[in-house]
Amino acid sequence: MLSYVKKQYTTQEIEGFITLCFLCGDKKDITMRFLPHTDTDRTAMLETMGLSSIDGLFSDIPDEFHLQRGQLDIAEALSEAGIVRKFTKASEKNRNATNTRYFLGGGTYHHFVPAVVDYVISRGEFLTAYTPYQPEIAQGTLQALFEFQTMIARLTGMDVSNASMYEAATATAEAALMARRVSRKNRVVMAGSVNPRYRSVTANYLSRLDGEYEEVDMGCFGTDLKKVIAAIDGQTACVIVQYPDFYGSVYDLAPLREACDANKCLMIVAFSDVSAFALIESPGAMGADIAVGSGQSLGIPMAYGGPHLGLFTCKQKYLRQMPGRVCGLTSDADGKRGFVLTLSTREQHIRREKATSNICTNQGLMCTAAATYLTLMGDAGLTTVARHSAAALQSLVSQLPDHVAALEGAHYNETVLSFADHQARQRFLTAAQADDIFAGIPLEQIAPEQISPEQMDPSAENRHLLVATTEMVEEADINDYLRLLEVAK
Amino acid sequence: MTIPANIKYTKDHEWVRIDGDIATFGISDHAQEALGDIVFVELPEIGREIEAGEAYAVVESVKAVSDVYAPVAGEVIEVNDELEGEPEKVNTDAFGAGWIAKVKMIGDGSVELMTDDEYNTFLEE
Repeated sequence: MLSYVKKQYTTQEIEGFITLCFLCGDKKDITMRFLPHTDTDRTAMLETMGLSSIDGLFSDIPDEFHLQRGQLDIAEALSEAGIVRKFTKASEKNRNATNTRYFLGGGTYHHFVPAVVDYVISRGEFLTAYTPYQPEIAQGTLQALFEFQTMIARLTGMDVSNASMYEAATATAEAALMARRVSRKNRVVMAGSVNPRYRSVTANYLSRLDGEYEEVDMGCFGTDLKKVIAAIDGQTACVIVQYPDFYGSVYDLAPLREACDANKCLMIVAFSDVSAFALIESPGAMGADIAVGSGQSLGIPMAYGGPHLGLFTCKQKYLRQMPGRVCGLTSDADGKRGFVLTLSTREQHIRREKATSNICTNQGLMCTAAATYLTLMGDAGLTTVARHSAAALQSLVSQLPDHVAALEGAHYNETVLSFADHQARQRFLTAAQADDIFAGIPLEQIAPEQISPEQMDPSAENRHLLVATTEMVEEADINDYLRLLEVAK
Repeated sequence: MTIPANIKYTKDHEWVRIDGDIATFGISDHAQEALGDIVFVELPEIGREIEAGEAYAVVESVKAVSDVYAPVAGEVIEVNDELEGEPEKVNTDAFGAGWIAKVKMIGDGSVELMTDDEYNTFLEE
């Protein structure tokens, strides 16, 4: 309707318009030039319906439910400047990663996004084009996808990457479906140390299919792969682990690789912060058949949890069973280099119901952001990000006071802090909040089943915090964090 | 188009040559012509047991992707690895170098098979 606006309206007129929208049967005599219907049109329509007024349309609704003019107790309209002032003031009350000290992770990480990333993806050619995949007119977008795939394959140590999925949870679920196709077996084993969201989405995908789905209880923050290995049998299509796991623990997956080989099942490695692989062994180096996870760390803001970026990579030999778009390099009739979508025969528009996936699109703008970020950072830059992220956690953990314990073993940039009891943790969280520190995620809020191995002592529950660091955490932030741990003891 | 006399055909345009308890599978010349240039053949795994009528391979051409169904039941004992590098052999020699897999027959499971004459008539219909 606003496309009919031809002139500036007074607040009274705008109020009148809004009132008209709410109270169709408007009694005030104002001219609504932005509505296409003239009075003549309306009269003609009413006559056709045999009504004398618009009120007649609503005569079936009892009078008591009709909203009468003036009944709404709403404030006077504000000017545009007034609106901006009011909302700016309100938004200043928001506490977010940019105006606090931020130690939250759990699948979404506060890495720095260089301004160049937003600049590049804000270009109209990238931002406004809808499914720009015709090679004749979209070489820029296609090349960005191609470069993205190359970088992601190198970073994860895998042979091939697709042109992205929506986010990590559905990528994990799609990996399970792919493993079922590859192995022609239908039992899926999931480690309990995988992000609860990834587990939940995968369980949901599999719930409508034949075949068993088993989540392996690893105990409280357990890292013992023997429990997962014990759950693998000859019918198992795949086993899914997260690395580093949901609690940040990093451990060797070689024993799992052996068990998978012995049972001809696929090893799927999920991950939440892909920047880890600039520092630690990649999923490919660990022998993953399929590696999936989040690419949000690569130049994409946390943004209320979306849009994020799902990464999907696998071994070359499984390429034909991989879901999603793939961009390839080719040459045209003149022998010139060109980029095209390739292997489309796996996709819905050709293979119909036998397609590898329902996912027949990708997260184009976000993978352009990731490709831009990785190009800008390079090997050295990303390694610096990873080193700072890991060093910040090391610094925090190594200085913890006695009454707070971090998980043992190797970690990248995330761990669990455990307090004596719920009250102790809450005292700290309250103090941290007052001091503008997002200190960690109370684990019971996202992984309720993982919390209390003892179960007999209620005070043992709800005493854990999932804590993550990135290069955005400075030494002063860690000192403040440690100081509050002492103060709130 | 020539249709060899010593092999049998299915309504889905596969062929099978039975030699003792070993059966060799492929797609017919008519099938390859209808599909157009074949760019990929997904071969079954050695040792896989397939039932008659089960999809055991996938043939991908520039036009379409098609499942290939087993004419008789058996265990895969050999696959035509050369198709991995040269899938066009299915186009150039569908009844010879373009064979797809060999199975050791298990039981007497079979889809409806036609002789060369019957297949010719079937094609004409």
